[in-house]
Amino acid sequence: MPGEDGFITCAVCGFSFDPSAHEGCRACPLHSGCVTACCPNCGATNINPRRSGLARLVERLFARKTYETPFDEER
Amino acid sequence: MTHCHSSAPSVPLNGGRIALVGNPNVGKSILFHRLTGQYVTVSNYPGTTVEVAQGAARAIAGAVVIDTPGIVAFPPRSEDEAVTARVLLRDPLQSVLQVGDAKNLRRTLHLTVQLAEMRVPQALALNMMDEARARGLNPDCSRLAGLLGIPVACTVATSGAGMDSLIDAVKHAAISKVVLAYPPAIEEFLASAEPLLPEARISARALGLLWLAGDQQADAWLREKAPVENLSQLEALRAALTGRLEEPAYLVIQRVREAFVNRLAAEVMDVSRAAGPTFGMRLGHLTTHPVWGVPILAAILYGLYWFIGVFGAGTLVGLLENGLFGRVINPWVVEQVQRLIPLRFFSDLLVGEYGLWTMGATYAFALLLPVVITFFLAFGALEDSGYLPRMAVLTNRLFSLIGLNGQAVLPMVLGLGCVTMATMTTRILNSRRERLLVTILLALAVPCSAQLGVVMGMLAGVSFGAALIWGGVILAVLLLVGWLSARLMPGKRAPLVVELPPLRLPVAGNVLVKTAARLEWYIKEAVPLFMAGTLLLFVLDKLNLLPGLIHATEPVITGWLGLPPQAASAFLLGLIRRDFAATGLFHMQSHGLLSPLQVVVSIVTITLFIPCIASIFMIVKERGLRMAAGMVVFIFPFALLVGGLLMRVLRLFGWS
Ligand SMILES: Nc1nc2c(ncn2[C@@H]2O[C@H](COP(=O)(O)OP(=O)(O)O)[C@@H](O)[C@H]2O)c(=O)[nH]1
Ligand SMILES: [Mg+2]
Ligand SMILES: [Zn+2]
Repeated sequence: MPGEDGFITCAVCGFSFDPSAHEGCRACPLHSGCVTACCPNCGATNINPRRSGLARLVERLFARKTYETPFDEER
Repeated sequence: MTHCHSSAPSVPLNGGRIALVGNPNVGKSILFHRLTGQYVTVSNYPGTTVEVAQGAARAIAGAVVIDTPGIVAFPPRSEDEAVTARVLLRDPLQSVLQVGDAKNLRRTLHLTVQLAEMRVPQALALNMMDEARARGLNPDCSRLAGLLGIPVACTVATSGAGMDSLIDAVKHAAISKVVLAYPPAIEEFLASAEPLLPEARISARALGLLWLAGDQQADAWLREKAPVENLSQLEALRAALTGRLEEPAYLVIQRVREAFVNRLAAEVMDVSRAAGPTFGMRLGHLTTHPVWGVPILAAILYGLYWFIGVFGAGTLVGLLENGLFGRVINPWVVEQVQRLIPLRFFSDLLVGEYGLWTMGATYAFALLLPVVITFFLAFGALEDSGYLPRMAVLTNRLFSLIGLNGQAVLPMVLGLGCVTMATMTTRILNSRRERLLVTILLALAVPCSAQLGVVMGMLAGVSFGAALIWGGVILAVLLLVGWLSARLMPGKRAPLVVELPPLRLPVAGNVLVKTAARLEWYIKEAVPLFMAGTLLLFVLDKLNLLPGLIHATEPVITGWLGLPPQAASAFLLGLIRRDFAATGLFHMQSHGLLSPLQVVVSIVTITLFIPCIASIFMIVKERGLRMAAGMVVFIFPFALLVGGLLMRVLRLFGWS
């Protein structure tokens, strides 16, 4: 099913955006592959849980429950 | 579908052309394919490398649909965007179909309003309704249609929902009845400019506004079409207007549109709540209320203080540092290491005063981690509750009072800004002076949320009064700095655009997932640096440089800031990251080495330090070594100045 856009919603301004296009680590010289994304609308740092192994682990623990997340469209 | 035998219709060359416009990634291309089917030609737009697809509309006889690349803003900033502007200016169009993201209604409506001003027949597809509804947003399309005077269809491009109403909307595209009134200076400019503008495919008013806002396409078009004497008259008019306005014209124009769009969005969203306000809605309303919002904010901040400071930095750290690490793990580790590694140097490296285990790992896991985890849990819950955008609205009022406004400043003020990223975006500012100033502001006043959380938590672990004073001083510095920046750089910021999501109870699973992601990020980013910092202290100590360093900084640390000389090593860690310094100071305080006054003074000072090594690297990369050095030279004395002054003021009030 298309539409798995994986957008996240900025916690500060409510703007929806594609975290992979606005990775915080692009700008960060220390390491690559971090989980931050910067909102293109307001510049706030947001977390993209899809990028984190630990988060995926926790997500799996909660997978049986149904709740609305911006990133559970992975299936 | 009933269009099964529509054989390849020939594309009528000058038939009715319908342009699809909208922001990138809103579903234009998918809708385009749904409207046109398979008979599509893709070619470069004349004179550009940008591809534009055209195809005959299946359900509308004789119509050709053009898919333009996304437009983010008028005036356009990229070649892709410029093509959309050129299509509107130069191509003969029957109508414009705007595709907008229902999740970002305000942003969508900004473009709608601009299209309305062009007075071309238009229709609006409010796409991604599925996602909007999943987020509890439910814009009322028919009400929006009524308010704008154009047909509006709610669609889900990916599933095809709403296509029938979309086709209907395209067929009935209309010139909107929306007319915005600008401030008199601009209206007068438009009145005198309009007769000078050549006949265009968009209204003279829209063309004048575009040109006034500095649109390159409009400018090029005018230079081509308008007689020279008209051009020079126009330029004179524009220069006169610029003299009358306090801010750049594009900003004034944007404000007017912003206000209109906000009202429009509020009305369209309100209808979906016609069932009568629920408790959540009423509470949501109160949170942004200028009066009632303040006690709610205070209550939430107190809750944060309690959870992160009292519970995290107090109870949890106490259990871990004094209990688990102090009594159980560390004595055992020290004994084992000293038994197994007889060489003093190497055992000190692990378990000495600046040992990787006794200082590095113990600080990281017993002191930092509990605070960071409680902070991330609280922050995640706050995020999911939908409160943060409301807090933005509430505080925006305060900040606009001192002339600060807009989306660039707000996250910065909230301390959530991504410093390294923000340093990148300062690239787009125009003059060297502006860029420098913004970078200084960012480096001085904006820690990332995790660092801020740790500093706050550690401080709250000391006392509530300390947390209050710290908060007050940092807020005052931010306001001062923000006020200065607003004075020095007017017109550099866009108004605040926020979508208020519904207020709701956070879901535990969701918050935990986010906390895990943040924790992983924090551990990856901070812990190695923390180890490196510890190693640095160890090396300095072994080379016997540390006592000298402590001695050398004594006039500042002890004399000016009134701190014990050992605080110098915490400050040294603070050069790497603020939270490390806070941890070191917290440790000293819990061993009775710092008085409450000293804690507040030292933590205020390190909060104003350069945020972290990553952003220093970034400043070097973006601004050059010289400028980075200059900035450090400015920020250090400034941070120390504020710290020393604070110490003296607090003493006057009887602190010790
Ligand atoms: N959930 C959802 N996703 C959509 C919808 N419309 C488009 N998308 C997705 O949004 C992304 C961008 O679509 P595209 O047509 O390329 O957008 P364009 O840049 O405006 O041409 C694609 O991944 C689509 O699958 C919609 O109505 N609902
Ligand atoms: Mg496209
Ligand atoms: Zn944002």
